[in-house]
Amino acid sequence: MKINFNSELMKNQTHAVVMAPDIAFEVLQTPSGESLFFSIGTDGVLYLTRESIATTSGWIKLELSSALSAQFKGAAVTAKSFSVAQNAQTLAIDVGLVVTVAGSDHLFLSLGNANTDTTWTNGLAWTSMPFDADAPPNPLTITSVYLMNVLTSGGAMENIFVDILSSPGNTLNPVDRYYITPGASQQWNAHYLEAEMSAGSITSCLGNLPNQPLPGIYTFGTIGGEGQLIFTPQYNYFKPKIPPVITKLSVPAGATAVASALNSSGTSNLFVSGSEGLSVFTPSIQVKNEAAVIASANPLTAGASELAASTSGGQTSVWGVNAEGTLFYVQCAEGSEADPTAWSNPVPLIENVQDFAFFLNLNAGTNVLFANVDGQNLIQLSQDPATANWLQRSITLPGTSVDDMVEYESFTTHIQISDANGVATPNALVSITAASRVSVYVNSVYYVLTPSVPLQLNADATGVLTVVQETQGLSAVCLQVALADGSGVTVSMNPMANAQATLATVTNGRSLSNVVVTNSDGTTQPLIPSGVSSSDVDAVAQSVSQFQQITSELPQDGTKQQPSPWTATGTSFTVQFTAAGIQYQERRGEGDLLRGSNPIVVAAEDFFRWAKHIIDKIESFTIQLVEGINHFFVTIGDEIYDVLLDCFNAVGHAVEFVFNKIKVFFDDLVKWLGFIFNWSDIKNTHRAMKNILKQCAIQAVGQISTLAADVQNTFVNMEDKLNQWATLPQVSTTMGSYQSSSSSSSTSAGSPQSNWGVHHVKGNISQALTTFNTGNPDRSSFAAIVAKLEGIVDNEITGIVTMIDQLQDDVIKPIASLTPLQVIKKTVAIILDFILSTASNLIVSGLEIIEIVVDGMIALLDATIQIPILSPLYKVISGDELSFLDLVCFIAAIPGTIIYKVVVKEAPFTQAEADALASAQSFGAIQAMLTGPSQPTAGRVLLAGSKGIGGAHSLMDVLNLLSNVFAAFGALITVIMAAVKKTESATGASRSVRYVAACAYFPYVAPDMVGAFSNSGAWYTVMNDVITAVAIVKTLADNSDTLNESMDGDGEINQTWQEKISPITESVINGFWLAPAIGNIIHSHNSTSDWLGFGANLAFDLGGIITPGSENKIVDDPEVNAGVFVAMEVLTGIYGVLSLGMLIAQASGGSESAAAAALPQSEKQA
Amino acid sequence: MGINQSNLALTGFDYVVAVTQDSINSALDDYLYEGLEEKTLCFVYNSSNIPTATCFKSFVEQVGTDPFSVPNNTPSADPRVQALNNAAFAFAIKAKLGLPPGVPPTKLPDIIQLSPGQSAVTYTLLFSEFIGTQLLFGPRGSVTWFNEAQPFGMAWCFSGNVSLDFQASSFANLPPDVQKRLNGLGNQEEFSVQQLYYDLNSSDLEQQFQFVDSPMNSALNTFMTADFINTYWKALGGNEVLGYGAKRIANVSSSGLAVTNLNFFVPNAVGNEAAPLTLNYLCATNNDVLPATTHANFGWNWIEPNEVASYDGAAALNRKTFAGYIGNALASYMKNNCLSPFVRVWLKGAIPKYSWSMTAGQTPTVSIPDSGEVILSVSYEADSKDQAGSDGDLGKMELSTSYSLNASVSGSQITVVQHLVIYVYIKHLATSASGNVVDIQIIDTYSLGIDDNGTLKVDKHLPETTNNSKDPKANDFLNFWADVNKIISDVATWAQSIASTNLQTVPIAAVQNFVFPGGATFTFTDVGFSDGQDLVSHIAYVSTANLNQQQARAEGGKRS
Repeated sequence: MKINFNSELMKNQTHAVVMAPDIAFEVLQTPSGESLFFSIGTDGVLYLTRESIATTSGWIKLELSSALSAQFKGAAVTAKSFSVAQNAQTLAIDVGLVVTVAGSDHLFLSLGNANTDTTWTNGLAWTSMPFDADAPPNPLTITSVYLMNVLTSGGAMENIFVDILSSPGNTLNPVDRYYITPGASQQWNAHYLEAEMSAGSITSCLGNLPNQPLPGIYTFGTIGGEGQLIFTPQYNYFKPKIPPVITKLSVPAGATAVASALNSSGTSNLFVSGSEGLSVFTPSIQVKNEAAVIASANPLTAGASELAASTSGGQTSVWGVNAEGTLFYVQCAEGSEADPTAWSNPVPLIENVQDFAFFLNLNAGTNVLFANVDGQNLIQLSQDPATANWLQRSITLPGTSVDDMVEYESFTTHIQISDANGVATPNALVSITAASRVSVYVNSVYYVLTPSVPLQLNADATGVLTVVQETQGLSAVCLQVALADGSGVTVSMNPMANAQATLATVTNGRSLSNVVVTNSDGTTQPLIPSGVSSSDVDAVAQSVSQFQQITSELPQDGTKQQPSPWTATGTSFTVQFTAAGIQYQERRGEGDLLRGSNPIVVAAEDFFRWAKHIIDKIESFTIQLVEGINHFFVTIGDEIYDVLLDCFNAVGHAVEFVFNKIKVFFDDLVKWLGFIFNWSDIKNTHRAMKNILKQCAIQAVGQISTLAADVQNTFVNMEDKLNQWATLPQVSTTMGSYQSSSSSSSTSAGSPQSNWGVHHVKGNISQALTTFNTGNPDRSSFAAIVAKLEGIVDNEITGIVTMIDQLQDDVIKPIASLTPLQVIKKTVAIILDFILSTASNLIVSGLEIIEIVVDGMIALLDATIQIPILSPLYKVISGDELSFLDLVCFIAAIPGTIIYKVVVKEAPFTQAEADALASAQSFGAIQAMLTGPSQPTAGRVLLAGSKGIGGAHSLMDVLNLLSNVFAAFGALITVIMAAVKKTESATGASRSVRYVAACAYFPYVAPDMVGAFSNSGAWYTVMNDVITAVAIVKTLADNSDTLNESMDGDGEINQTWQEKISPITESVINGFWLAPAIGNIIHSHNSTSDWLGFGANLAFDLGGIITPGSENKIVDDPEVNAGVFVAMEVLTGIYGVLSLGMLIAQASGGSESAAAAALPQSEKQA
Repeated sequence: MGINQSNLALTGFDYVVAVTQDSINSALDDYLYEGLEEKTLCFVYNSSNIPTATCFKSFVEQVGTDPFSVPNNTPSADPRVQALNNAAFAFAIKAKLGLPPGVPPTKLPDIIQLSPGQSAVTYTLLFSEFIGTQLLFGPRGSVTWFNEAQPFGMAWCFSGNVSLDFQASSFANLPPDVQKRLNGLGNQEEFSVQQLYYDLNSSDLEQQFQFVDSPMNSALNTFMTADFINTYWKALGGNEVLGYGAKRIANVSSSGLAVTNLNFFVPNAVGNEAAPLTLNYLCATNNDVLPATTHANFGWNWIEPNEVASYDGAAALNRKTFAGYIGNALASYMKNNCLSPFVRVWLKGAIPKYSWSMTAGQTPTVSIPDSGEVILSVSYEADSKDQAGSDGDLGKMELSTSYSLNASVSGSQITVVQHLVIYVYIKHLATSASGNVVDIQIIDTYSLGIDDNGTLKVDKHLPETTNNSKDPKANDFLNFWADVNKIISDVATWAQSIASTNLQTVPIAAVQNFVFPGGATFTFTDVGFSDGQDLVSHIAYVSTANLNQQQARAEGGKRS
């Protein structure tokens, strides 16, 4: 087996809603490091939003407070305030909640909830804590509840405090504090809040001072605007029954927020944001009762409304939201907190933040932040401890409406697991790791990938894994995918490879100036905005070119470059941004920039985030190689900052920075370095092909009354027709080499953009809905017909089991090593008796039922499907509702257009052609357009010469080419739907799944359907048309409600149909289908495409012939059933691969090598 | 109950700070947790064989032997004992005030014990380290070397009664500077445990110590009771026992009231539920006379039994003291609204002419009641009349003013009601008009809070202003002949403009600047008015552990 992948920087979507920021939130975590996000929504409900690995949105939201209404006779309950704490020993979670019911406040507790995932699904058990201390003020107004779990020598100690307004009417809102002792005879105990503070102003955090007998709590609050800061030991060490002796700390000027962090020796630093910036009370300062010292005087850290701090891994970090709403963070080495020069420059992380919460992911050592941005958006930011990478994503909840969709820029990687010849390996088990911790969607399911713990996953039925990682810039986390079959096959994937390759095409200012990008509406524009001088473009191009050189020398698995002892003298260069323009200067060897200076080392992620805020202040930078690593030195003010360009991401940021300097921003870069769908061409392909397939289907259904007779006529002398293979010339090329050449020549088919539609059908089909049904015809005649059919097939079953066994062993398993001629020879030998004996009467009798059933099915083609992502996007693109036929045609039209344009260098249809084909009202009308004398687009045939591959071609040629792509992607959908049906059990499959499966058959057999327009009159053409029609109507009937949903208590008829009659009929149809394939190859067998087409047909037919083997009612051996099912999937895959190969071969006029060469990777615009 | 019952107007004390025995002890324990400085006393016999203090450091340098390093019962022939004997060594004590190591915190003896109805407390001196050495001379010139230290896990206690009655004659006989140092007046730390500790240890106060908790028959006990306590402790006679002195802390905002006299007292507990005894700091402010402690059995508990776990104590300001403070703070503002009117009416020909004026800055009557919600009542009234013609038949004018300000308190709110009225009567020939051209009432309400330093925080509600000012007019027919309306309108406009300038909502700073005495020692909460309208607050001790080091740093260079 092998692993192929293709990554693209492109927009992607998830069926989800971005969680709206709530009034208040706090975050804890599960043992595995997933976030538990508690919040009170704007609807006054307490929610838990749980990060949930292996779900579609990644988060699940549960209501925690609504059930309390039952305790108040159903009255409305409004959550007002809450607090959560985690037991320092057991990690169990305690929740305190204040609710308002009819104007008065009530306290509830839910203690000791295990922090494992499952315990939360049924909500929380709440215990009411009625006020029972003396007489309460009237009204009782509970302003806050605080839970704080402290580890003491005696174990984890829970502190529950509640503040109430002490004197209602006092406009300073002073509070009284109570200590809650759940379960005691008196539960509310007056607790001296050591200073008078106003409700809403109070923040508490834990602390521990050196040489003090007990740890305690810092409390910061205000009264009348006056800040007060005190430290209160846990209890009175000397007289435990009276209040502890507190320590007052002098409040720094303009103090607005505090946070503490325990250091590795167990004592606490206390940080205060005030008007002069960030101050710190180190443990020794606190003990000496001295004033705080300024840690950072940067205005970015001043006036923070909230702070959080932590000391971990030798680093002390402080986060805050400053007065302007910018979430910032600063860092210093542990122990240097009082040294202002030890602190990093504050890095702005996000702007317009209203609120944030923070925790340290204990498992990963990752800093995880949640921020309410603009009151609109909740963002999770996490920083990888190893790379300092900041990963940002929205908190997304499962979508509830079909229109719910979250769209973002992504690096999407399409991973194909296949056999040596490039044929998909269904359900292959792989393990995935990432260069650093990253949350991704794999096949539309949320996972967290890490460098150390491989995620084991099965590829889908088509051997595909699609990994989508959200990005906000030119940085992605590299992946490693290994086959879990012990083969040791491991592939390192750099999602930025394509973007880097495109960047590498920039060699000078001219090449950069020539870059033209295409917008999604098809309009184009130069990448570089007008007004940028050519010398500036030159300078940027030279920098970019240098950065690409650096990229090429970095570890290609995305990890950081390690310093090497020898000092290489690479090219160093300086870029200056002056009023006169941008100047690029190169020199050899080490510069002297470092000598005598003491640069401040900043992580690249931090620096470039910061740089966006001060981009105009950066006047120059210098790149210089030091000990094997390129450094980005930049002077800002009096300081030199030193940023290591030691991994892909760092360089990606640097490239973005340089482009930003000439006003080229990420959105523009995506158009150039990434991929944007050009919907207008895709729409044309879609509309034309959809109507062609639709008219074919109508034609087939319309002929149904005469089909039986046609079958009987055409199937005469079947034995002779099948045995004609003997007259074929010998060709030595094996099926395997056809597959191999086809798969290697069609890289565009394996791109994420080509598979975008398939990916989303796969991910969302289980949530698709429809209001359509296929009707409920008169079934009175069914019993008799089914009984007759069952009689026929029961006689055949023994023979079929043997036949399938032989086919598996003699043909299918060794198929790659056989020539098409050997395949047909062996196949015919095995199946001939079966085909002849069963004869056509199985089909003819079956058609009696099909005719009744299929009557209501034409309407299906136009019925609407509500499938997340695809329905709403299709509506935006086309203005129309998405029908079932639209869905499958749209999915195929995307790769159809992309691949066609790559191969032929132009769109498949002109607007006029598309309009005409899409509006044709009948099969005949289309046929006339394609073959009649009045072709509306006679100009089409003129496309030749410079553009044309294979010279002049007609509209029919276009359709032939396209139909191959439709076949390949129809095959993918067919395989996926079969797999979905399998898991849902065939008869229980939801309507949407069946309807999609039915419609997917049209693109799947598109070459046959298109072929029907060019009726040459040859026997094999006529026969093919007849069998195609039979196959179409049978497929429609197979997926009808009538033959699937148990009606009038006659479920047995349906079961017999689905489990016996249909599979064996399928087998017979596909056996017959070999005959026209043989007829066709005998007629024309000189070009490669003829043989590829023949091979594709063989694979298709073999897959159909063995269908009965997958049915347990026919072959009573689950192992055989499973094996046959996989073989069918594989054969369908071969059909797909060879169909694509045929497209290339046809387009190139038979020359495979020319076709392969015609697929440059960088060709992206559809 | 508790502080809500405070009614100091009945007693005459301006300000009382009360702290429970447990709170004092835990604050003292906290203060002593890290121990004070180690001190060494060394005595040698002088030529009259009387032990005399000498510098330990020089002594050791001179003799070459540290007496504390010589083990107990070292034979007299030992050269070290010989050397000490030769140097006329008497004894040496090395002591460090603090908590005895190895004794669990809850097993520590109470440092002070209060006795109801008294100003004296039982005081127990604790040491974190104590070593005594001496040469004992026996019969026939025998010499025994004695060296014993407080064992780990045991507290050697010295207990005794200390009278803290600063009104006692023995205190009054002390030199004024000693008195000042003892009562701490003028010191921001007058209520601090350091000050109290200093007082307790001061040999200037009446003390009787006994040595307890050590084997009675030990030589050390004999030595300590016989010599150390009775002789040497008192013999120190100075201000600083073992070199320790009261220290002052800077950087604390000064209080709104200066405490000018202070005494200690422990009132009887009230009720049968064993309310905690409290040590009361009885204070006079602004040089008021400090009543005798006989007035300090208040009849209420500052801390009720169920409040012990919540509060260290209480601070209460006499309603009259607070009212006086507000009255003083508002004095100049109020004077602005005390307007003395003046009118004159005269004839020019047969036509009456009028002139009028008012002079602000008059002194109102200030009343500070002993009871009721109104704690401050200020009023002023004045009148001026004149006339022309026979019995005023041609012209008459009257102008009268009244201003009142009443401050009432309840809960945590102060309400100040001001009322300014200016009345005018004018008669012009046969026409007259009269009325209150100014009649404005302003009600200001303040919510009170308090910060941890004892500073009042005030939130002023929107003032409620009721303006009943009239523009009196004569009826139109009469007015045709005599333009009374013009005149009275002029007066009204004039009076109203004065009122609008002078009468304002009460300046917030008057209340906001008040600071409870004791802000460096305590934090304050729950500020409000008691049922007797005293301004009361609960208090808690602030740790002084850190202050030791501050002092040590500040004083480091000065002390030996």
